[in-house]
Amino acid sequence: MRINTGVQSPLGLGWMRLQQNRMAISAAIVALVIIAAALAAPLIAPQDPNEADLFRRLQPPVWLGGEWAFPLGCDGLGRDILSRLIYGARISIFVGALVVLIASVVGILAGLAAGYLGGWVDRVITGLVDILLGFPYLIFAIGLMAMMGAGFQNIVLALVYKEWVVPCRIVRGETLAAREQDYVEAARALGASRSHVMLREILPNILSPVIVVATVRMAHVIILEASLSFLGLGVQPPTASWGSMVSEGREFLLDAWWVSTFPGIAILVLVMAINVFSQGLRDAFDPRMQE
Amino acid sequence: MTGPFLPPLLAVEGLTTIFPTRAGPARVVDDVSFHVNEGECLGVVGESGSGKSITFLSILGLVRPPGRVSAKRMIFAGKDLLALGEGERRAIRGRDIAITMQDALTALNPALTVATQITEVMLAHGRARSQEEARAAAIEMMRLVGIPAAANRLDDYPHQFSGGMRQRIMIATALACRPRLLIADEPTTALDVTIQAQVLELIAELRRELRMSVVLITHDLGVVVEQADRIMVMYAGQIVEEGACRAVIEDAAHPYTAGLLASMPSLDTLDRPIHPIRGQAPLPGPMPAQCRFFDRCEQASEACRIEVPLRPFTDGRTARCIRLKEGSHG
Amino acid sequence: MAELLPLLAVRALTKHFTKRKSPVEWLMRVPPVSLKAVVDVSFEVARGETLGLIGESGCGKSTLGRTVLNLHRADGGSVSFDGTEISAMPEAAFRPYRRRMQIIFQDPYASLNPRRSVAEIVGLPVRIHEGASARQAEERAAEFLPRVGLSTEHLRRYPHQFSGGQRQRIGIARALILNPDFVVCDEPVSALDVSIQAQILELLTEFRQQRGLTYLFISHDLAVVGRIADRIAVMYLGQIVEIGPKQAILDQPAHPYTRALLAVAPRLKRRPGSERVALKGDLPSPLNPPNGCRFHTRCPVAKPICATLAPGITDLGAGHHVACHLHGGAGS
Repeated sequence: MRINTGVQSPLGLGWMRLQQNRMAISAAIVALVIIAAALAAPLIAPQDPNEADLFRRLQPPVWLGGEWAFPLGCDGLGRDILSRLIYGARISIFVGALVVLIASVVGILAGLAAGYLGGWVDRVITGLVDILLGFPYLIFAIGLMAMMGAGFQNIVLALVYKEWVVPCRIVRGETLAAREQDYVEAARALGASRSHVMLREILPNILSPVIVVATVRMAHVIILEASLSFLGLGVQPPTASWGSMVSEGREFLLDAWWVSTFPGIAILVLVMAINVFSQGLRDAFDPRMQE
Repeated sequence: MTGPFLPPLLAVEGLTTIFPTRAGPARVVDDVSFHVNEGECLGVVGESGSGKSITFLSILGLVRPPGRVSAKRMIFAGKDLLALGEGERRAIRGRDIAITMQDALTALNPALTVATQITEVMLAHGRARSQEEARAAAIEMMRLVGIPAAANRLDDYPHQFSGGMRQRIMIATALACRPRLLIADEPTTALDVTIQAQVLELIAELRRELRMSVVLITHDLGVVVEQADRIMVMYAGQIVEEGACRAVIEDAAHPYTAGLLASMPSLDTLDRPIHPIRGQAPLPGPMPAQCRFFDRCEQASEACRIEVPLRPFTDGRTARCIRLKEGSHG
Repeated sequence: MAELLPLLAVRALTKHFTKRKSPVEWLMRVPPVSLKAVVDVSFEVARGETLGLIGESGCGKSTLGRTVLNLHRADGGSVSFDGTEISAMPEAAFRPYRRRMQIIFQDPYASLNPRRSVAEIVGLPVRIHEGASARQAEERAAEFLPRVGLSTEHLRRYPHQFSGGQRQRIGIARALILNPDFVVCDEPVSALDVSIQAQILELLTEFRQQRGLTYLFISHDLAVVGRIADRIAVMYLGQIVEIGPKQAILDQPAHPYTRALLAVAPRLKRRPGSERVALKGDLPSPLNPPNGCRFHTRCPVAKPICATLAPGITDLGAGHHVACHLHGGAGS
């Protein structure tokens, strides 16, 4: 049955469905608040995140006898935990977004080429994908980081090296299905170039699952980055990152639980928000999820 | 056909099925009344969206919410279907009334063998007491629908059969309990022409042998002409014409029926220029109070802007058109 | 002399599909499975003529239509269009011919990109072949839409907002906007309601009359083909078994398969029961076609020779040819 409304394009219809999903919208708002806080860190962070003061070492949060200037207490070097959380969000979100973005672009192009062109291109790309899938992700990234050395740029690279496999496999599968569609045949019959067929006919139709998966993967990458930082392979001190904050608090876990717990909660909240939102995206945009 | 004194096998009065749409409630089946006699084949003709399939799903109680079904009367073999509970209704479905769907590949469960699917119905409805008895009956049924080497193929899965064979298996499943009424919903549409003929032939044969009644739902007048005793033409949720098959085909009373006949490609009429019905059927939704064929009818006039009732006009035929008065047709 | 040259000449065209072997099959040296979709098919289509191509699903008629258009690469034989051999042309050299050779698809739901508006779909050929801007292409689309019974208000809509018949009109507009010479109609009405089928057939007939279009009209329905074709070719398991002028095929069918198709074609008049003899059995798998005459497993009049020897082509005169042992003795 056709629905007659003002909105016409498939994207518009998906957008409409998304807006009606309250869970997804709330999750998006939570994620957006964290992102906004990260972007506006210098404006809203109450303290300098790297200013140490051993007199404030392990000072408890305000409701446990701390002071309002340091609402979530201080860490082992007396640095303000709230400010470090706000600055640390920048690393988590930036790494997450950048890795997923680069991986998606690489994965989409490789997947389209493998699926549409077939032949040796397909064999090379799927071969590479199969090899990469053979390595456990975290161990693969640890190995790369050990080789390249720590640092922001290397984290992104180490994660992208394997992350592109995820969108690549999805895109290849979807492309194999899409290229059998008559509208692709029609474009070929009209004399459209290969790049036109791949980028203008096929890509728009397979983008929905890629976007949905990209958001899920972003949550995953944020956890991976936190894990690498936790292991000391991430961004280097004194730059704050949620993973390294959890790691630094380990030794005080019994005396000063807040040092590890607050960054842990931050990771949990952001990852959950992103996952709930991506669920909503899937419901709204992935046509196979509709009745 | 049966004498006038026997009550019909199925009698339906005032059947209405409503689905909510964005534009408002749509009467997808609108006040439909008809009957099927014992041993008769009723052809139900209409295009997609005419409500022909929903009518029978409604009778079987297979319409899911938000769809709502209501009727004044629904009698099957002397039983009032409206008074039955869900359990008793289910007992009738499959045992006394069976339905076959258009797409045999999706209607059969791909994960179960053919044997399981046929025997399951028999055991569920108490038509076989043991697994062995059901299996034997299933082989018999598959032989009846013309599947070669039936005993060997009983444990195959649906995908191992060709399209025509799957349609036969679905018919075998439907017939497993020896129903008194078979509802065949577009049994040939998904099939090749030479296979179509085989399946129609099969249904006609089984009707004679098992003495059951058949409702043949189709968009293809050619199928109906060969098989049906009576036909019922539906348009936009309503019956627009009903009568003895040959009489309707030879001399259609309703402009829609006439238009369908004129648009149907047939080898008998190749020299006649194509004369399609213009426009397209209305979308499901609230309808204006006028003849539903109004926008497409070449004979429409201002007088058609009323709710046109379905009226008898000549020997046992009814139609929904204001130009027809009792005894005036011809 | 150019007048006498057929617009399309197909000679001994063959198309196989080979299943790619899995690594395991490769290791086990499993021989490749090859589906012979089109085998040694020859025919011609004159300028302005409509050739109806009829057959059941899996007989290779769609593959034939697409191989003629170079959408599949031929594995043997040749296709010549307007005097030029095209089947071996590289895609880049063939591109100018694409605007002259078009295709209309069966499924009006799958043949339109759901993410593109009507303006983009119908304007695409103009952009590809005339280098037009999006705006110019949209203007051209707007000019053309009324000719297929749609209006400019439909330009900004998306395929899902149309009914099947309207979608088929969009597909026709896309195929015909550049005024091609030759169009493959691949079951263009099979997926439509009866009243809409007639509308689309009428539209295609109109275009043919106005523009002198040449159609290869593929269908499984003899009654539809009988309506629109000048000549009819009957295909069974990858081969043309009979070809000839429409009246000859319909009135004096020579091949038993053609006769069977005629016997089951829809008619409004009831035939005497004896005439309605359905063919026995299923279509054999094209992966493993029968030896000899491919039809012999279902043929009601098969002789022993039919199982061993493939029949040659017999000329029945007046352009009527048949491949059957019943006519003209043993095959060559």
